[in-house]
Amino acid sequence: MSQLKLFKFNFSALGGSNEIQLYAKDLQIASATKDLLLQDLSNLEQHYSRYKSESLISKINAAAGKNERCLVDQETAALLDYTKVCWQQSAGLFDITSGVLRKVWDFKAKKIPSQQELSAILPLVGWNKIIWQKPYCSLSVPGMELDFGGIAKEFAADRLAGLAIQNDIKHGLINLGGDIRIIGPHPDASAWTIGITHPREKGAVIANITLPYGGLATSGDYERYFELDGKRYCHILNPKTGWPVDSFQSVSVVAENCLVAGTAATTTMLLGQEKGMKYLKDLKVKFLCVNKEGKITRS
Amino acid sequence: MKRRLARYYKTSRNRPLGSKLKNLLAAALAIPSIALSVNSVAQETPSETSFRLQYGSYRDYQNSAKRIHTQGPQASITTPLTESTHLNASFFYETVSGASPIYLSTLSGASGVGIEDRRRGGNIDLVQNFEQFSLGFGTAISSEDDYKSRSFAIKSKYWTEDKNTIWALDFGLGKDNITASNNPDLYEDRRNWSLLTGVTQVLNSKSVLQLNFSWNAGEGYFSDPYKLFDQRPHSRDQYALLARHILFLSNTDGSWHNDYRIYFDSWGLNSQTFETSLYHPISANFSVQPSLRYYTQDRADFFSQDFPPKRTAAYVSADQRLGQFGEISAGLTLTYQVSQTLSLDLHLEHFHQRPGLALGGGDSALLQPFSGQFVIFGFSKKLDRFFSMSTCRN
Repeated sequence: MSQLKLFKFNFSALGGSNEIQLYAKDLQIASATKDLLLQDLSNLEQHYSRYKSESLISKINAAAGKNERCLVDQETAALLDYTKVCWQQSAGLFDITSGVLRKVWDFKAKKIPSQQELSAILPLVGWNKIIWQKPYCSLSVPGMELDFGGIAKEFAADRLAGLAIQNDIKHGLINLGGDIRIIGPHPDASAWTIGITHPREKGAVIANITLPYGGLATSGDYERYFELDGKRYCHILNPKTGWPVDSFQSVSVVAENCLVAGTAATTTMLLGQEKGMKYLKDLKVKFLCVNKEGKITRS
Repeated sequence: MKRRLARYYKTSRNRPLGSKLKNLLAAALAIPSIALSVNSVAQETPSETSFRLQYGSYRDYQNSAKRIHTQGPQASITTPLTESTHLNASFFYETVSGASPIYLSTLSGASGVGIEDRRRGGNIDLVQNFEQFSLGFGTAISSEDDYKSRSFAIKSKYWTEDKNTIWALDFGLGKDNITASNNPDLYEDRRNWSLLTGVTQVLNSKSVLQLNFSWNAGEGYFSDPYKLFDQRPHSRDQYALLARHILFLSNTDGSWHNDYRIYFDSWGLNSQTFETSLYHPISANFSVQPSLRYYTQDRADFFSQDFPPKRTAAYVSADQRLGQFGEISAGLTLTYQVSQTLSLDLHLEHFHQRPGLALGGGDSALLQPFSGQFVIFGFSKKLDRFFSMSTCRN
């Protein structure tokens, strides 16, 4: 049994920096696997990105309010079903139709929308306004949009890990912008040590987690935000009010796969500190939260 | 043998997944890419070390006169050794005191002469997990003053890709040594072979059915050296069929278990057991589990209460445990989840046994009604062997 070597590949995609670490016999195999994974990631973006006009999501969004319904593939259908469960379990707060709210929030210009702007756009938000009759999907209100941005990295991490496993890679991990799915532990069966970014100190790590398997995802108020008059406005928007959440500094969740970890972390942020903590305890997942005062609570 | 506390030994029970997480995971696994990324071996091997310690007490009575009292601690552990192997081990120690049921025993007269005994034992299982099956090797020993037992087992499990069907096949070998404190010349043994095969099938999202068939063949000394005129056959073939159904109750996050077991052997003894129990969470930290069991046994062919026994009988025994009787037992387990890693539990059980309770009615006038109770207090702790969080700053 020849020795496996660790290969690390860094790359940019999905609007951030990413990393693939995998153990393989030689660089040729590692490189070939990496290429396969990156090709799949590119296919994923082609299919789900609302920025690509040819994507399935863009087609569905373009047909919003019209009497056209789009045929979706099995994977997208299962994803839609999954987002419905998330929407139900979060009392309507985790909502893939809330992406349109970004149109009235300008994070670069530090602009807060007026109540009129919000009132005009809120009617376009709501999972219940999606007409989902498997395998056909359409959006009932003109201007409505599906946005998988909130689950893209987590889903992609799981998908790439699965592809690596199908290609005989048994040890490694996928890290897409901090959302991680482990392919398998180190060849000596030891677990990976992963650092959780400090939500306030750039470049610093607030905690370390050792994991042999599973997914880890973090949601926080520091990824995209602006501060105005001492108040922080982050990119996680409540789909019912249109306003950013007033919540933890960051929430990290460990689960069997990155998708579940990610949606649980985001849902916790959306629910706020009190309801969010209760939600995490109810769910019985492993977690680490940093509250508004910087205090750490873990499972 | 005498009633063992070991019967109520529970391996540290993993708290069942809440229904919210179960639904979320099920919806995620319905996505083809996610399903392809599942690591089966990881799922089978526990990621945590679970440790359990319990202390139990058992007492029985005959016509409200105290008889046997057994008490002692038990410890068990389940721990991963590598990412695909794990170990289960347990140890017990108990002291037995009192007198065995009145009548026809060389050690007991009208009031029963006391006995004192100590029992200890343990087992170790090593399990190796693969993609779709697992293989385990186990060994167990137990000893008391007049009885020593050793056994070895190979256990295998196979499951379908969707995990909806799990097959089990176990083989066992054992050897027991019997001596007697009232007869220094007695040194006997018996050997047994066993086979267990079973299937666990997920019927739908709310229920699971398990069917087990087991066969045990024994050869050697089976008689009770403390009883006058006790002469049992030198072989015993035992067969049992068990059907178990679990219904998940989503409104409470609990479950309802129902078991039916039928047993028969080459001694003519047959029995049936009906048991129902409800696992009922009351709050996020507290749950109760009431249970009810009815057991009915038909006597062994050579069971006879004639004193002295007929000369023509090849085998004879007046041992109450081979007679005809029925038993009703009611139990309650209270579990308190102190934290995500620590839980405490208390188990209380009372049983009542009498010939008249047997299906078809019992006729042994000499068998006195017999009752008893168990009180077991335990705590279970989990140590996450792999997952650990160290904070850099607080």
